[in-house]
Amino acid sequence: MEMQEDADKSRVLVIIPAYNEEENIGKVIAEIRACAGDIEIVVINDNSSDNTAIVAKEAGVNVINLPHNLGYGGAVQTGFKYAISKGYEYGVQIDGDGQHDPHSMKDLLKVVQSGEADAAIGSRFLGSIQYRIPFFRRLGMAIFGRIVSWIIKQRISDPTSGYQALNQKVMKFFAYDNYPSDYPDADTLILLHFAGFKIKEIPVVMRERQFGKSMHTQLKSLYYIYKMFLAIFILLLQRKKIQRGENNGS
Amino acid sequence: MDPKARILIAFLSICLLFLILNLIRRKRLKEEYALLWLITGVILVLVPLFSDYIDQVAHFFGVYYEPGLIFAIAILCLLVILFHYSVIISKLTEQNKVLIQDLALLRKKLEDLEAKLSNTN
Repeated sequence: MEMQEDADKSRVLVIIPAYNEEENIGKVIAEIRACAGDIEIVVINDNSSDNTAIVAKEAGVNVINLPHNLGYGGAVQTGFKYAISKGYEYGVQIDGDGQHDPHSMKDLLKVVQSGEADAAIGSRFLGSIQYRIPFFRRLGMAIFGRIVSWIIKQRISDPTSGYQALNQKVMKFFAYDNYPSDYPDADTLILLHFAGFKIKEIPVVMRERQFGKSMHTQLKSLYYIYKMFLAIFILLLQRKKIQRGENNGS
Repeated sequence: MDPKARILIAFLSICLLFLILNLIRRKRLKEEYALLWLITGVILVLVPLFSDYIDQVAHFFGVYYEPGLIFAIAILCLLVILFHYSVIISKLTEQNKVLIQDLALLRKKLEDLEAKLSNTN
């Protein structure tokens, strides 16, 4: 039984995108280790100007250094490419800022490993939120949550969650063509649904980031709203094409 | 339109065409990106030659300040060129992203291989 569990663990890769997280990354890695033992971890250092890469390396995990800053999505996508090239069957995305409580990881993994869904999305609204979300951001989440739920006919409470577990099929789908480089978000959930993947939301715990600034500022919130509406609109136009599987990268 | 103005516009446009052709010849400008500029240059050469017809067209569309139509044509040409650039930039951004990612992944692979080698030695 123990052997079985080990074998399962070796097929999982934890992907941590990190930009200037030298104060948080060490703790995030330690926490993941405390929860999941010797699980494989890769940190995608998105051209940080601080010591993120060194801290991660000293913690003994794989580090991939992007020579230029690509943004959150571009970093996560690099993680998918790495996972596929190494033959991992499951990937878990966890932010490098300590917001995602690694204790929830096993719940997310269970869903994809059992085949219940292709993608497990960690929802702070089903689980618990241990910090204050700025009003406009919360409003945006609520609006886009409604829109996504309406389009995919499945209730999605937390469309902006970056805490996810994915199987290899989804990682392959995302690794080349279908992933936005800034914020993978509500639109990616719709894309997954159109492409025929099964999504399931799982309650998780999200906390206040430990140190440093969040990537979400007021101006970015406005851009985010524009980007989401446009992305969703374009997806709806391409719906048939996606369902026929024409943008599967090949 | 005054003949002096016609000559000036035609002269400047021909200069523009020569500049474009010279840049292509010296391989400083790719044919792909020169296309829209060449079209713009040719249109600008033709404008002073056919300005009487342009005046008629302007009147037909209810534009009573004739140079207005010429400006409109020129601005339209520039808009097309700028739009073309946005498309090119988007493509380059995507290519750049893929290169950055693959470079990072290859570096990682190299590091791993080097570590493996130094362990076996």
